[in-house]
Amino acid sequence: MTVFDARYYDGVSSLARSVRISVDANARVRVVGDGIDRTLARDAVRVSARLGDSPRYLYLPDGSRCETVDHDAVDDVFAHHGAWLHALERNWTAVAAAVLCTLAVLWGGFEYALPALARHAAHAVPPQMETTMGEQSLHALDGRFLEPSRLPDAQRERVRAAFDRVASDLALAPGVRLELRHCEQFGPNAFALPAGIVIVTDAMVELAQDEHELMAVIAHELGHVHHRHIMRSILQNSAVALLVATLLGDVTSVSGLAAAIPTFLVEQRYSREFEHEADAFALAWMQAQGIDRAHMAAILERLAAKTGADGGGLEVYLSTHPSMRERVRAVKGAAND
Amino acid sequence: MDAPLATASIPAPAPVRERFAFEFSGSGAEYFRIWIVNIALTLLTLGIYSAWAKVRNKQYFYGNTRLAGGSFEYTASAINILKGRLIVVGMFIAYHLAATFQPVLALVLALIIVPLLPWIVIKAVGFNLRYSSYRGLRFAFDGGYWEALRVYLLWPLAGIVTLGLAYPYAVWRRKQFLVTRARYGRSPFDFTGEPGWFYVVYLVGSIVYTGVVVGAGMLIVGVFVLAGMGIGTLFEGVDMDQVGNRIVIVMTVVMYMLLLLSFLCFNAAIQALIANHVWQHTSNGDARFDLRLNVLRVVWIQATNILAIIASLGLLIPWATVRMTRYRLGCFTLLAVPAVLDRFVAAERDRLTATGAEFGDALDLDLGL
Repeated sequence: MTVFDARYYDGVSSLARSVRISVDANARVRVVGDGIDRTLARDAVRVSARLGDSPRYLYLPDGSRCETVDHDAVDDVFAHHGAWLHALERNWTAVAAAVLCTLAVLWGGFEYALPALARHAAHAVPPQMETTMGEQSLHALDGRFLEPSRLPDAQRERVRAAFDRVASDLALAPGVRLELRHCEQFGPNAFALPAGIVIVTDAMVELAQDEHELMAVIAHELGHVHHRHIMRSILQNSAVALLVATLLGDVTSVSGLAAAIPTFLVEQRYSREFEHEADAFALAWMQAQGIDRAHMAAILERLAAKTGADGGGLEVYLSTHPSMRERVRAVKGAAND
Repeated sequence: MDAPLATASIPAPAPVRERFAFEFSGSGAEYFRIWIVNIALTLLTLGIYSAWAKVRNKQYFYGNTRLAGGSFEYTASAINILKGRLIVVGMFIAYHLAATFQPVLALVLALIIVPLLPWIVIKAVGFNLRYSSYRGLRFAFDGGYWEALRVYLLWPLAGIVTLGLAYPYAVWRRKQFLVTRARYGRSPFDFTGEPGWFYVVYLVGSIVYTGVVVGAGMLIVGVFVLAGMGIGTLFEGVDMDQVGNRIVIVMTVVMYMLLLLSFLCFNAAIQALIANHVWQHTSNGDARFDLRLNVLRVVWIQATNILAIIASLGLLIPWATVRMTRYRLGCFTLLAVPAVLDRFVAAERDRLTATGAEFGDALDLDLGL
C-alpha cells in the first residue's frame, strides 16, 4: 500500500482541494479528501513524465487531475512513459556522454557529412537553374557595384586570351565566360558566379605584372567553378542556419546572438576551405602547364600588400579567406615538393 | 487607500486582497542535464526529437513555476509540434530555394504567405495558450483573423511609413490584442495600459541609447588611436600602414561586438519597462497582476548572461535561462482575494478534447510572443 498527498482539481473549476491518494495491492487507486472519495483502476490513471523535481500530474479519465511532488511514491506505483529519459538526465555519466556525443555529432556533421551532402546535391542542380541564377546575380551586381571595364581594348584582349587559354584547357561546362568590370569598392578582386561567370576587376588586371600571374588568378576562380563552390556554399549555409535554429530554437532571450555567432563562424570556415581547394586547383593546372608556381605566390603577396589583409591572429576565424600568409606559404610549400 | 466611506448602506467590509508571489524552483544544474540530453537526442534523431525536446523544456519551466501552491502545466503533444515543424521547415526550404533560384517564384510564394501570417500568429498563440493550464483549467486565445491582420501587418506597416512615429502605438496595440483576447477558463483578461507610456519608453530609450553608443564609440576610437600612436613611437621602423590596418580590423571587431552586446542590453531594458507596464495594467476578473522588474538588474543579468554564454561556448545557456527566469518571476505577483482564485470556471468547449487534429493545431511556431 502506497500513500501520498496531492492537490485535486476537478477540471471544471479552479478550486484546489487537498487529497490523500492510496494505491493498494490490487492496483486500485483511492482518492480521498474534502468531499471527494473516488476509487479507480490504476491503469485508468495517466501520469505525466518526470522532469527534474517539478510537480507530477495524475490524469483521471473524467478530466480531473491530481498534482503532487511525491516522486518516489508516484514512480513506485505508476508506470509512466519517459522514465528512461529521467534516468539519463539524473546520471552525470550519461550527461557527460551527451556532451561528448553532441560535440562529436556537430563536429562530424559540419566537417564531413554536410559538405559531402552538399557536394552531391550541388551536382544534381539542373544547369538551366544555375544559368538563371548566374545571370541574375550578374545583373544585380551590375546594377549596384559594377561598371563597364575602363581598360584599353588591347589590354582587355590580352586578358581574354589568357582566360580562353585556361578555360579551354580545363574542359569546363560550356557556359564558362569572363566579365571584366570596373569597381572602386572591391579594389583588386576576382570572383566566380554560378554557371561559370568569372568577374575580374580592372584593378586586379592592373595589379598582375604578367600573363602568368593573371592566369593564376583565373585558374583559382575556375577552381571555384569546377568544384561548384557557389552552389555548395548556398546549400551548406542554408543547412547550417536551419540546424543551429533547430538546436537553439528554445532559447528565446539570447537566441539571436547564440544562433548568429556559431552560424557565422561555421560559414566562414567553409568559405576558407573552398579558397584552399581553389588554390590547389590552380596550382595543379599551373604545374601541368609547366608554369612556375612562384607567379601565384607573387600575385598573392602583392594582393596582400595592396589590401593590407595579411591576416593572422584571431581575425582569421572571422574571415571568408584564409590568411594571405598561409596561402602564400601553402603555394610556396607545394612548389618545393 | 481603499477605505470605505462611512455610509450605513455598506453591508460587510470589502474582502482584503492578498499578494501572491510567483515562485520559480528550477535550477541551472538540473536544467543543464535536461537540455543537453535534449540536444544529443535531437542530433542523433536528425532533428525529429526536437519536438519532444521542446515539450520537455517547456514542461520544466511551467512545472517549476508556482503560484498560490499550484504549478503550471504544458500539455501539448509532441506529435502535433513535430507536424507543425515539418510544415514550417518545408515552407522555409521551398522559399529559400525559390529565392535563390527563381526570384519570381519567391515573390509569388511571398504573396501567398503574407496574408497567411496573421492566421499563423493566432494559431501559434492559441496553440501555446490552449496547452497551458493552471489548477486544471486551460488558457485560451480568441483573437480573430481581421484584428490580427491589423495588429501584425497594418500597424507595423504604419510604423514604417511614418518613420517609426506609429511604432510605439503598434507595439501597444499588439500587447492589447494579446492580453484582451486571452482568457483563463471562461474568464477573459483585461488591459488598461496606455499608448503614451510606450511612447515615453521608446523615446527616452532611444535618446539614452544613442548617447551611450556615441560616447562609448568615441572613447574606444580614442583608446585605439592612442594605442596606435604608442606603438608607432615605441617601435621605430614599424610600418605604420600595417599597424594602422591591424588596429582598424581589431577595432572594428571590438566595436561590432560591443554594439551587439549593448543593443541586446538596451532591448532587454525596453522589454522590461514594457513588461512592467503591461502586467501592472493586466487583470482577470478581480485578480490583478503586478510586475516590478528593476531595469538595471535586468540589463546586468542580460549582459553577464551573454558573456557567460560566449565564454562557455554555449554550455551555460541553461544556467543563463534559469537565472533570468528566476529573476523575472521573482518580481511577478498577483493581487487577489484568496477565495477568487478558487472560483474560475472552465469554458465548456475547452473541456472537450478536439476531435480530429485540425491543421491549425499542428502549426506550432513558437514565435516567442
